[in-house]
Amino acid sequence: MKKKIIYMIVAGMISSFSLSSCSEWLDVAPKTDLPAEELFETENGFMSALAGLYITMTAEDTYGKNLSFGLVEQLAQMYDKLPDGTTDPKSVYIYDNETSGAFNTKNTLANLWMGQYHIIANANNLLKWLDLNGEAVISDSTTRNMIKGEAYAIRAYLHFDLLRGWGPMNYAGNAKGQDMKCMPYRKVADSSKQPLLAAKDVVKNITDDLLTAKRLLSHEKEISLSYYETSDRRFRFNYHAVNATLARVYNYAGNKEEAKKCAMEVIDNCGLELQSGNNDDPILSNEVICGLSMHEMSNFMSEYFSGGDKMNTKYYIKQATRNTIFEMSGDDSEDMRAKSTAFIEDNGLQICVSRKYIDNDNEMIPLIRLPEMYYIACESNEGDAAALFINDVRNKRGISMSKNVTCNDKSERTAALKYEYRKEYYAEGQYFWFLKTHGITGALEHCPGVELAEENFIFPLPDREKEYGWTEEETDSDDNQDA
Amino acid sequence: MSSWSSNFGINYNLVVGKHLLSAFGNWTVSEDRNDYVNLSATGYPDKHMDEFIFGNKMETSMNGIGTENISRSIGLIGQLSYSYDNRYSLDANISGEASSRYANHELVPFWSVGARWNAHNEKWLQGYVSNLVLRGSYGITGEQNFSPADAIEYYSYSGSMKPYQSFPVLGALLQALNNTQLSWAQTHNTSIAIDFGFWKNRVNVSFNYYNNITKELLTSYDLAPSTGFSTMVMNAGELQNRGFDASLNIIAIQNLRKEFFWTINANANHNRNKILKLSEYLKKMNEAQMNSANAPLPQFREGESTTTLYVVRSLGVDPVTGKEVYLKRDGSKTFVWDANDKVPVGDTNPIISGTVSTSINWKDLSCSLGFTYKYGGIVYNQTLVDKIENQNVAYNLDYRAGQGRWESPGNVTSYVRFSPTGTNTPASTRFIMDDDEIRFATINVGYRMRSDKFKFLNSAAIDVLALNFTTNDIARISRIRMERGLSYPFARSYTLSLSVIFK
Repeated sequence: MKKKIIYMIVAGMISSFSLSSCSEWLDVAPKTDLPAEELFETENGFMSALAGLYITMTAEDTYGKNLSFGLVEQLAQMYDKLPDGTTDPKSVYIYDNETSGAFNTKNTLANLWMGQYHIIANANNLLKWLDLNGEAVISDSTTRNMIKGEAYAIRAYLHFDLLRGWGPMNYAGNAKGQDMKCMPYRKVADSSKQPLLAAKDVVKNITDDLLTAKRLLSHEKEISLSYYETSDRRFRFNYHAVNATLARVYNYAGNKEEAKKCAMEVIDNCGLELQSGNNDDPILSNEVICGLSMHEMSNFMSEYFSGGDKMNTKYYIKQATRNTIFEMSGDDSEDMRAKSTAFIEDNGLQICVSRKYIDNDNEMIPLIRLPEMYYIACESNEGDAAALFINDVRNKRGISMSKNVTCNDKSERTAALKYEYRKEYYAEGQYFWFLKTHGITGALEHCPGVELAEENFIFPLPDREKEYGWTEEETDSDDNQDA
Repeated sequence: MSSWSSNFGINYNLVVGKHLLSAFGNWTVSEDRNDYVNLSATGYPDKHMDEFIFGNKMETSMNGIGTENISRSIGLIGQLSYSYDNRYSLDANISGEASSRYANHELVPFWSVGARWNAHNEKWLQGYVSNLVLRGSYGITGEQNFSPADAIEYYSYSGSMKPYQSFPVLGALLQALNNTQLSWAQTHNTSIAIDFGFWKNRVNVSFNYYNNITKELLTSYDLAPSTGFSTMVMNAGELQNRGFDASLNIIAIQNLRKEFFWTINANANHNRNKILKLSEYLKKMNEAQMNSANAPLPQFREGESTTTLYVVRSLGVDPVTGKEVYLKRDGSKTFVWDANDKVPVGDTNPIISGTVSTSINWKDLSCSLGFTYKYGGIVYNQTLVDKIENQNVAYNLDYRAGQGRWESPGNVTSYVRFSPTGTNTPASTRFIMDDDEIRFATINVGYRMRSDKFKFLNSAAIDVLALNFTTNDIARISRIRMERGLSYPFARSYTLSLSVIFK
């Protein structure tokens, strides 16, 4: 009997103690998670971290909706559809109060702010690991430079879009605005509080990052984005995309010399050409220098753009408004951007809906397209040289040469470009930024009931940022915020 | 789902004269495994084909079609107790747990000691009191309730389960900003209690004072959204939880012959928590904010409680304009609400709270009533904000939304000027109210039918048949009128139950 007891005790002790010192036995993480050290032990791990950045950029909060066809287009009154809960198109400009239901812009802006910085934090962390492990793990220096360059480019690009929203009005022509403390520039993924930087410091940081990216990607200088083998590079920040972003940033900052250089470099080397037909491809994917790939785009977009009976619940625009935007006389248009290849028409309700995201086989959301380089080249030139570029695009789009525009002085040129941006970038989220960059206030021609003033163009800091992000250097930031 | 556990325990008792020694130990190892898959298909051609395989198309999304989870833990408990003559006793305890849920897999044991003096058993107190016990304990408990991703840098695929053109791999994202210096939160618990009873325990009083100091308190600290994340787990510092529990039990009437009993029970609890010391890291982050009049007050400050409400102070509605007037942090007045002007205005925790209950038993009839009370806390009256001030004209309104509002210069009212586009009142002290209440919480009435009294029960071989009626949340006396059932409708429910014991 005693022996039995002893055996039982020993068996019990063995079963219990045998696992007791195994802290590895307690190491069970969910199968989708892994420590960073393990992830960055292989080259695929680095690629996954980079892929994570792009995939998150396609999220609704950022480029998936708000910065493409969503909020930024609604701010420019590009749709006649108003959300449930409001009948006033001006209610989209309520930035201080939450209007739950209706546009709820304050909430959308807070999500946009956080969404952008979340991707920036991931990009910064990837850069950190590239410095730690990059050389050991990724043997091919070209691949290593590519990953690093793309991470820098993404960081700069995202900060730039934050600057376009939270920064000053008419940056290039507004000296006081350039000193406005508007947003932090984050270079490390940590919990430290970073001070709000003046707009000009933000621009400096952005250009520095883009130049670094340009240097790291210089092995791609000569590739043509239209070749089959390299066409996948259009979904990533390739060399030409970095150059194009530089052109855009220099143009924003008023640095015409550099903007012209970069724009011309892109036009000459990227291998893409302006398209004169948009059949089945209203987004003009063959002109996209850099775009995002949204998985199962048609499922997501069918909620916002579709034909059929539910058309008046989607993001529609009245045919009359569309005709104003595309400067059409009557129903006919030579401009291919206004034709039925670009819009689904409902002649009964007299509304139409853009086809850009539903006739989109490549599932591409454009970030930068080739025509912008022409517009920047136009803006960096004077007189006839400038007119050459803008008319090149117009003619390719189907507008006859008899309607060519002239750019004899700055205001003519800006006006011509303004009308072009409005047509070219319908539902792509660039027109509102054009108005802000050029300091254009007043009534919108296609929506005369809405008059825009400077305060509608500058987004206030989200509440959580003010509360939890306060740093000592911000004692005079309050004055500059309510511009 | 499967789980297993293995348990090893040992128990030892030794009695020598008036000394009693007992020891107890237990060692547990366990694993819980959860695997759950959810498949869905659409396109079933006919209602008779109700087998999963007849679906036309499977759900193609890669997200949310299941979960898998394994958690493992090892725990130990040990106890040693000694008592002499049923008068003095001493206990010592040790316990520890190592779990896969924690970031650190070491088994850190925690201990406690307690002493007890049954004074009523002392010869010199016999006859004076029926019950007098003094007890005290001191011990350390710990918790490590943060997940591995909070302490170690973790990446996850789960947020980016989509393919992206040009990548042969899935995307991985940083899960959280990790804090490499996270450590266990340890609480030093001290308590002293006295139980006092007299008149043959007809009256029993118990008083327990406790003082718990948590060192390395774990908290989810709010971050600026520009960090890309909303919170980070940190060791905030030292938190003190101090208070007392008191209870009183009176058997008012005890008539054994007539089988009539009436008892009254009351208890009270007072608890205050206070941040004793902030960790060095938080102190540094707070310094600059504390010194500037424009900056928001930091979330955690020494001397404040963790349940303090930080709200912008309001001076009410301006009779001239109908707008709300706020006080900035430096005391100046303004119409503009700013999150930076939040100051501590009170504690949501009541100063004292507790329950009072009474029960009457007469033969087979029993009846009990229960009340709860609380005093001294504050609450933000969300009902008034949502239903009166911010309510949209398009919907049905509380009558106060039309009548209590400011209309013309000179009106002194509690609600701001009406606006057809709707208002959105930010949180201010205008709607902070004292949360004092007495609530009639339960009533319970029962009757037992025994077979020796109710003969008809014998025919069904029933020994006892008991009927019981209960209802809750009957009435309230409160300083505030606030809507209950904000997210789910409040329902009055009555329960009648029948229980049967067979022979």
